Amino acid sequence: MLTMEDVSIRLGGKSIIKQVNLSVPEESILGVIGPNGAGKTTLLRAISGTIPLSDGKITFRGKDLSKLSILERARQIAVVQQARRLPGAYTCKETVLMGRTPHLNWLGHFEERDRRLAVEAMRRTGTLDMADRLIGELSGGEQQRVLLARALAQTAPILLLDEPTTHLDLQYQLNLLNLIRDLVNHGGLANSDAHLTVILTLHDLNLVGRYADQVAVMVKGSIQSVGTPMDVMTPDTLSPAFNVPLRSIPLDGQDKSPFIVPANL
Amino acid sequence: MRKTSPFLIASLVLAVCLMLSAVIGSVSIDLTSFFTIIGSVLSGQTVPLTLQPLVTILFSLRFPRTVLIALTGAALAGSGAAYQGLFRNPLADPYLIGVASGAGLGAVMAMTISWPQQISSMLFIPLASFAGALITVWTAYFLAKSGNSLPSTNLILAGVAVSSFATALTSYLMLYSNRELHRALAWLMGGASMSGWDPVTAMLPYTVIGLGILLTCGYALNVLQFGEEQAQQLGMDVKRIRLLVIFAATLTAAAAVSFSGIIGFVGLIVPHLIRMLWGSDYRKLIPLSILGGAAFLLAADIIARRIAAPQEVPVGIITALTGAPFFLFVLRRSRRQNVW
Repeated sequence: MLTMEDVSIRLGGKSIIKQVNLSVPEESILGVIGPNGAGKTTLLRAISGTIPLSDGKITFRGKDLSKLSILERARQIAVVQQARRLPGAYTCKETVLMGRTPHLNWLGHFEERDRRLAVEAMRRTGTLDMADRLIGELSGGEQQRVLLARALAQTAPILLLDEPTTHLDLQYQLNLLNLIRDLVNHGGLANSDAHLTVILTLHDLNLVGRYADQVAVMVKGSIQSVGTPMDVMTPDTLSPAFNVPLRSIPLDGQDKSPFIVPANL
Repeated sequence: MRKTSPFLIASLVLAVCLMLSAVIGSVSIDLTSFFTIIGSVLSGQTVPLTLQPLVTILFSLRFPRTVLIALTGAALAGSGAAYQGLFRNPLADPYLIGVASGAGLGAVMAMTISWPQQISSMLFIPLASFAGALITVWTAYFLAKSGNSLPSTNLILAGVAVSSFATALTSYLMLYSNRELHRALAWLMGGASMSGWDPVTAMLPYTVIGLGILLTCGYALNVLQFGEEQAQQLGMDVKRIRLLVIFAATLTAAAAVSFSGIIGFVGLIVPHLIRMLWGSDYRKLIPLSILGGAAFLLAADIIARRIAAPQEVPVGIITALTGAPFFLFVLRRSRRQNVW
């Protein structure tokens, strides 16, 4: 279980995250949605330890994440950021292998197992055929998949994905989310025997409804509502959150959440 | 042939440069004599009588200078590669970011004090250089840093500002100090003004420690190329790496400056040439820059000794003449290619 208790973050005197309480069971996906500037990215950065908490605490399997060293934290949490800089001079394979960094010594010596996991991560993300290309030469979507491969190669039990589907075409959006679902259901990469807990932010409400086990709606730094997609993905909850009138299109007799579309489309 | 090891090529080039540096000079030594002498000395036999004068020239004049120049080139290029990696900036070189002028200031300040013996100046001048260099590099770094990023232009501007300040202080000291500082002036122009083995033995520990540390940092610098935030998320303690690399690179560069004076552009050109030839993997880039830097400065020194013989041109002039145009080339190129 990954638990956030009264997590607050103030940056430069401004309150960005206000008393967030969330718990994410292991082997599940939490989708965080909300309008721009709601604090979704900041929340992920707080969990990854990039920005310190002003208040509250985050625990995983009962351990306070803020007490971990940088190295121990990297063994627990892998991240794919939304905005990032990529050096052009490394190949995809070199980049993915860097996911093994928290398991290597200071000199960065790769064992057979590290190489195997990197190849496996590339195979699962469909990036194996670009292994020897420079990441600077790839499209935004290809880079996104390479970074996901790097995060998977890290074999951390927590995976944080900030807008993982941006830059991806529809096919790869579905591929990526199916892959995440599959990894969560079947315990991460082969031979890594990690139970995977995923927190992702997405703008596409209907994809969140399909793939997340839990959805949290974030508005102005607070969690407005949280629950299963069935409970949360309703016009009543989402319309005020996004400040857009919405309506739902139920799907025939399934236990899946309805499609949410703008009311006046 | 494309698969020939870069280390083999760089080592061969360095070996040739070492040898040429030993045989070329006002008394030129032919290769047969050279190898006869080396062979005799290595096997413990007596050198033929006719070659005895050459032994003195080689072992008291040529070899110490050759080794000092090679160490200096290795130190400058190795630290240059490390600064470029640490600051993620193609223009970071010991001179541009103010390390060298800071080291120069420290050294000149130490020279204005009268030391009891030559050996103590051998000991204290490098330490003073190191202190001066550390102060300037931290100042330039903090002046240039804006939030979490370190824009190229800021770093260069801050480096230039800090450099000018240190250089101005150095000039003032040299003009108004009572002590004879013509030695300092010659030294500032670049070129090994000291001779014999003393400077070599004094410089060796700093260079070995500094470069030794940098050689272990290759992988960490690779990860750091993705930015501080990603490096941290991959388990790298960025603050510790930054301290370690600045310490080691500055120690190395300061040692080079305090024994060989201001020799510009080596730390810029050599890592870039290596990058173009063999890529940007810092695990290879740093050792290859060390080998290449030694070879490059030896070649420049041979030219400096012979171009206006019997006059000797300061080697810093040769490196600046080749380096300045190259610098402009790098400035244009780095905007559009995937070497970063």
